[in-house]
Amino acid sequence: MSTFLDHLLNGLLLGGIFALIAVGYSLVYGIIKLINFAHGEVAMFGAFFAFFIFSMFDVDGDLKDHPWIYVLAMVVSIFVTMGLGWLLEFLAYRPLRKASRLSALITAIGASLLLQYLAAVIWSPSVVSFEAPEVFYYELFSVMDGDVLFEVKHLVVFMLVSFCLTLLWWVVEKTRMGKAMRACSQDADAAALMGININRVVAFTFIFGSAMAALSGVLYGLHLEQVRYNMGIQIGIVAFAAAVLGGIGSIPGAVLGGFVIGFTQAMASGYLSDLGDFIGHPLNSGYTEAVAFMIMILCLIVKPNGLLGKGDADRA
Amino acid sequence: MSLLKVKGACKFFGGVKAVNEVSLTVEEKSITALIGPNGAGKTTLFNLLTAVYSPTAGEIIFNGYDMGKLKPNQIVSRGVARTFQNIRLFDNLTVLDNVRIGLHGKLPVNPFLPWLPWKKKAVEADAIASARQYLEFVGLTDYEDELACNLPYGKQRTLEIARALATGPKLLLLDEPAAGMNHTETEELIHLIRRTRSAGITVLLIEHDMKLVMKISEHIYVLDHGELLEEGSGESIQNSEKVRTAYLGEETEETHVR
Amino acid sequence: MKRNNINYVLGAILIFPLVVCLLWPTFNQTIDIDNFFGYGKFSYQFTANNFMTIGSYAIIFIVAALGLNVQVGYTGQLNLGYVAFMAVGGYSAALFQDANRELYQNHPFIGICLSLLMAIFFSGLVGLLVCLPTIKLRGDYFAIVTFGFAEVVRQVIKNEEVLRGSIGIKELFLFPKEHVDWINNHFFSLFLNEDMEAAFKPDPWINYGFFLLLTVIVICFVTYLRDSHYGRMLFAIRDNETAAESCGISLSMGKIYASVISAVIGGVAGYMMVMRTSLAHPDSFVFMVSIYALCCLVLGGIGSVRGAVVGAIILMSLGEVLRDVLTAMPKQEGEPLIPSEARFIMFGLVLILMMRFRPNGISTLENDTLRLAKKEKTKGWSKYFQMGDTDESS
Repeated sequence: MSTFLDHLLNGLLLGGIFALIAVGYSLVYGIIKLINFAHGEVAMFGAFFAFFIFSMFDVDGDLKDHPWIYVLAMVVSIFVTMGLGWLLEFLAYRPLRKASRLSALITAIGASLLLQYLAAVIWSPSVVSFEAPEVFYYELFSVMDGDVLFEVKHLVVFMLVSFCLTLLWWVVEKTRMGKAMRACSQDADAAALMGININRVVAFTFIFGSAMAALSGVLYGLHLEQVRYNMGIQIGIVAFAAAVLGGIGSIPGAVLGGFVIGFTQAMASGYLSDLGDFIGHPLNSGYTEAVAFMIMILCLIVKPNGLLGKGDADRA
Repeated sequence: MSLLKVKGACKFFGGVKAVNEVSLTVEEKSITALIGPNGAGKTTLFNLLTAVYSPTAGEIIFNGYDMGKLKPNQIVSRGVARTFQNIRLFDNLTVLDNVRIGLHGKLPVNPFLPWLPWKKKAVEADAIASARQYLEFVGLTDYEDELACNLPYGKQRTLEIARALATGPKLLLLDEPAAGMNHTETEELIHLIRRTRSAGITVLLIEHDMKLVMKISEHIYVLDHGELLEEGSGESIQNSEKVRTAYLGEETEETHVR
Repeated sequence: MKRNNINYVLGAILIFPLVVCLLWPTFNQTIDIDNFFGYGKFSYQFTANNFMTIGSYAIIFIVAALGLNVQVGYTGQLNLGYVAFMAVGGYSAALFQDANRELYQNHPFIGICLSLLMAIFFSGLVGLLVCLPTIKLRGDYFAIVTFGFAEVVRQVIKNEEVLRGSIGIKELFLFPKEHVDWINNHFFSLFLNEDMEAAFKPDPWINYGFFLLLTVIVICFVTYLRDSHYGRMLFAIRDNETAAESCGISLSMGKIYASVISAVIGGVAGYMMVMRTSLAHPDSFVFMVSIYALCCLVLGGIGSVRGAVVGAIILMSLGEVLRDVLTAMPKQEGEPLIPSEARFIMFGLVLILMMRFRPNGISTLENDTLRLAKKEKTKGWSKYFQMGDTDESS
């Protein structure tokens, strides 16, 4: 039972992180009907920027004793990544807005490749490890005789994720920009005719999505205590599966999908070998990665609109 | 012999009754028109006839076959061809290729046989000759090598008709063939439709251009709000109160639909 | 279809490496820079064997790009999981050879034919399996599903005991050693003098020759398909699905047909991949491989046979050369100056820049399926892919 709770907690943590990234996919898809393949890479860049910043500090004693450096790094990284997101949209996607979706998709793939390997060249092609702040591991309370620990890390992630999602809800529902975003996702041409500046709305969407992605990237990096140039693909694809599962274009769907996938992945890594025994065929840990993909594939085949998706028909 | 018999066809989209209990017959080698104000359900009916939609209720019998359960591409092999309201050509292919694709149904289907080089040459030569005949029939021979997207609008519509004819249909469904055409082009269209009928093909068309309709149709069906309002010859339709009201609303003074 | 001189030029390019190396086996350039921008020693050696190895890699991608072209260029379905077909083809051939080593030892030609058949059969089967559930999916969803599928296939290969997982299947060969030696002694040695003979390795050459044969067959096949009415059927599906249906074309049949043919060609490419390195390993079949094929197509021109050939030759050779050059770079604190992964930046840029500036690809000479009548502007390849058509007849 304690392992189950452990996995549950882990699943919620990952789920929150994936949810934030998945929302980015849904936002962009809702507005310009583009699957932003490079979104995962934006998150990865966020993590790398943060790492870059705290590696600049030379303190006596260990870095991990100074949590404020991490906070600073996170904040700066978010701002810089927002710029990156804007740049990505401006340089790569805006010129293709009139082109077909396929061209845009291919460009997105190109952007993803470019960002990945730029990171590999600028920083390192191998794993970069660092340490998370000491304070992260302070126990807040424990359950089951200390077998399951609810740490500051969990608290921080939950708080930040909730904050972001609340902020997102507020922006989309209660502000003018949010209304403009909703209008654009319904009918961009009509929105333009109503005087909405599409370029600005799209830029804002990208910037907001990138900010959340950066936050998720940093949190994910801190969780694993490492960053890699190809972690973008990892979280990107999982988050994309989450967005699809929840119904791409739907924000609550993305959040739901994020938690479902995060939970499933955590469970899978924990219970995969048991499942293997059950079906009589050994299942290696490598299959955990495949789980997210399989969920996504099944979802697209059976119900392309996802759990909460709008009626964006797969074929007329 | 009635080529096409529609009995009580219905197509409901949720609460919207796009087509409601429509029955009509189309005689062989005739030119029949389907008219009605916008939104009357004419194109929906066409979509039912070409299996783009499956009927919620009712029967569609073409040449003795029940067409209700077929798929759009199977309709073609039974002998029904259609053109579209918003032209659907293969823009990036040449005019000749567009017509050649229409011939697809008549070419050998076995995936292996046409691959033998000599067979393939023969098949291709036949296809090109056949396609050229159709182009000549509609008058597009000069445009053979043009890309379909480069043709003027009126010629694009004609091309669509040529492609539809290439499938070798018994019944040709034309969805607003004269839309956007000027006077000369409309006259050419009239000649084309008459030639088509002389070649033994039955024509059923949706049209808004009343002059055209009155000139060539032998029988007219009027649809409004998904229901069959009236049917008859040009004269009787022109004089019908119901039709006038449907198109123009309540009368305040004498008007003729001419 | 009228023959263009350019076809002969391309043919010459393919034979070029073989001829050059046969005539010039001393081809052995070494660049030795002692102080490369102050970072240390840079030593790069480029030999004829090297040339052949790169050439065989490029040729594999000609086949892969052509196969992908059938699905993407002819039928308009973006398949991001192409590597799955290659993996299945390569692995089925490898497993078969592994299980029947004596057959290969004694009757190599029968062995080769059977491997090819295995590769073709199983990859075709997979092509069918992928297509069936996804026929109704719209363009971008189809792309994502194929991508996911390729990853799943790779995970399965990596984790299943039967497929030798991470270790891979080793020591695969086209011809057994005795045959290779025979060819060496009776053919290659005619061109070499004694000092070269020591450094000469016949394997990349034999590979290249055999691959060349397969590539030519595939090129002919794909061109034949394009000019037949089956090809036209696929173009119709790509251009306008509803219109294609109204001409009697069954969309499902067309898409399945395209998928199977694409998969079969992919299987052949996979077979070549495995034979080239004598090893079947899941890491040779990562997602990036699908992207390589796609990049070759995008560079050369989606839908064009010539484009696929040109794109593959340019991009893959450049990629391999870059990798060798970057690996030879001096190291700083144990880490290379510029990691060899940097070459992938090129691939990313190719995709972005081509889509932006030249979606038709670089082979804008008389493009195969687009007849550029006079000097009129065409709508361009990007306009082919009318995904999720918003047109609806009222």
